[in-house]
Amino acid sequence: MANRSDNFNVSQSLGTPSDGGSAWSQTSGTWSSDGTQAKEGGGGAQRVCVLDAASAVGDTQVTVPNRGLDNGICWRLADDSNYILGAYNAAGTMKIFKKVAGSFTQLGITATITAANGDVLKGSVDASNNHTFYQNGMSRVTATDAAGSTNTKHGLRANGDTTVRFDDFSFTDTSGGGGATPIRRYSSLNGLSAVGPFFADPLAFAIA
Amino acid sequence: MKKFYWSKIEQVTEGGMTFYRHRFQAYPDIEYKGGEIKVDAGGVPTEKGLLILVAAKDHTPFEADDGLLAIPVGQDGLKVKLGAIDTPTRLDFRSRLADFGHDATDIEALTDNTKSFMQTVNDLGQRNNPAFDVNNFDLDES
Repeated sequence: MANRSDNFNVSQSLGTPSDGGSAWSQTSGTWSSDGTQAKEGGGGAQRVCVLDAASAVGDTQVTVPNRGLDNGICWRLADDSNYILGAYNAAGTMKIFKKVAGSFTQLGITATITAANGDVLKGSVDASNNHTFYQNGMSRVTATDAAGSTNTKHGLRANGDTTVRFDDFSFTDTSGGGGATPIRRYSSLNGLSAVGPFFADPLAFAIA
Repeated sequence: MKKFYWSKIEQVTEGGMTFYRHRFQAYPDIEYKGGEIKVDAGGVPTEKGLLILVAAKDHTPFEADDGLLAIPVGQDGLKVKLGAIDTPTRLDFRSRLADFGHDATDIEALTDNTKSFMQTVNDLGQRNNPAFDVNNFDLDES
């Protein structure tokens, strides 16, 4: 179990990160750093690059200095066909997906957001398989799903866009406890606000 | 007001990405209670829909959506037997299940007149979540 991080301050094809730990795995695509930020240069669909943290529970976080059109983070990755995806679309949506055997299935709600360069994305998952996808510290989407619950690789995702840039990646292992408490966001159509741990127990949910 | 819906599982392509979702996920920012879609080892959903509970002041847009099948009774009416509701409503419920792709045998099992809606809701809920129990499944409204 380990925390991981990379500031991307070495110009290279993504290899050894700044934390000195095991190297990035370029699961799909061609990933590099220009000495300040990371990018995917191939421009193909659904490209991911991950670090192994030897823990399936924790917070995967990155700053997006240039959001491009479609980017995100991934966690609990086994291979290019199996992982959890936090998709951040600059047109204004955030979603969580599970990718199982190469097929994506959406988890939780579709959240509309205002995207901006410099946004900080975080995907948290706890030992009970509660996933939360944050933008700048605000919970946007939550879900509970056990897919990939033993997978320990976490990282970056680009989707058909070479203009996306990433900075200050980190994975914080929370398997010892102390993970963030999921906080609900609003519900716009019916005017209800929603606050409280969501799906910590999938059969107990409160709108307040 | 809270309503149960059988939310149709569909495959869509948005922004160049093809994925499975249930119909209610097309409505952004609206909370619901419902768990997640179960998939098989190949990543393909195993069920026709996902049971969800929605709290909203206005259900009109959802009831007009072909991908959302409202359970004909509210939470307070779950003990009502399907045979006790009016025939047009019951037949429409069966017809909509067929539209979702349920075969005749499955529809018969889900809508047997001797069943209560509670049994039907539990049956639908347990398809994606075997631990589902309608008695422990609720939204609090303010």
